[in-house]
Amino acid sequence: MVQDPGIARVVADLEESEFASGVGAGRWSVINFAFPILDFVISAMDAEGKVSEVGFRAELTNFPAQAPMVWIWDHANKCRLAAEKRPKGNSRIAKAFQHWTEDTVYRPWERKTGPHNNNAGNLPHLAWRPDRRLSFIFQDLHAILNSNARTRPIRAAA
Amino acid sequence: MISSDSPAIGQASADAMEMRMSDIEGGEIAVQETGEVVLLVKTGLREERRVSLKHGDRIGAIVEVIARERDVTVEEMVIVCEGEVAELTLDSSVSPDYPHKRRHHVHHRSLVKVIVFYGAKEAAHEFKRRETVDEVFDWAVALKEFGIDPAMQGEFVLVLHGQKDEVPGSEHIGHLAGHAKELKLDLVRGDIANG
Repeated sequence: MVQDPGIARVVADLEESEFASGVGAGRWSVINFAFPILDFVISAMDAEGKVSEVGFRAELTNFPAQAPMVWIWDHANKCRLAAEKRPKGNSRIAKAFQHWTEDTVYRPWERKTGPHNNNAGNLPHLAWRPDRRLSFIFQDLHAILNSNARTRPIRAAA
Repeated sequence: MISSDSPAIGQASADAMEMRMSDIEGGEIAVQETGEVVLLVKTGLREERRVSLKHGDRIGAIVEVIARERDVTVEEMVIVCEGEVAELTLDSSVSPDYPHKRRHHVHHRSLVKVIVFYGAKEAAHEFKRRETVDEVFDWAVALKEFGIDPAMQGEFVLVLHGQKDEVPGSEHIGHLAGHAKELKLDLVRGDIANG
């Protein structure tokens, strides 16, 4: 039986140093991997400093040639997270996790979002490429989910 | 006894030796115990190595190897565990409960002058090489000179000066600066997909 080469690539990405570093530091973790489905959580901090975990599901058919399709996911109920339960806050968060036609994560690297309104073409630095690793997506989601916590009082320069 | 692989970019794993995800039959990951302790040590932006250690080995041995390679003294170097503020003491040793799954970083002890540009404005501040982009961000968005509304601070990101790629918040200043004494970053609104 011929094994899908995408499986080996996903496993390599899950062992890659940036990815492993995020696991070790508690920034994210994998719940389950059964190709082509990868279930994972990303840690998030809100403006009050409260830490939580946000679930995601990635579909990785033809990875890495084809961009991952990623949903914000309710792992307990095995379905997309209801819109009213999704992270709220600044416009980056609101847009990334908005409810839209395809209802995938709305970031240029995402399979459905990339071609939508030519997002991948307009924002190539955020678009998926086969040479990118899964850690690119995890870092992007982690940065957005923790952007609410990045508010600081104004002060004069030292 | 300490042994160090040559840099293995993109292949190293913090727990690669103790828990190797090697059985991928059917896409299912199986965890295999191999009993070795390996530290992933980052020494540059694209320079990492896996260092094999035994219980009782000194952490300082890692610094000694890298200092020798760079032709500097051990006292000029510092080693930190990712996510920790304090540097590790060179005499600390690897024990069974040592957090070996967390990446370690080795830096020169010198400071980096970080210049952040925001539109036509700029500000500079010295940071330790082990400090992160997140720490620079926290300093920059709170500057009175930049005048960023606290409610809007979460919309911003730091990118390398003149570029568009967002720099991960956990990245160390020292790795971005390399051997330079100065690092330039732009504070910009994070890109949002249109739709």
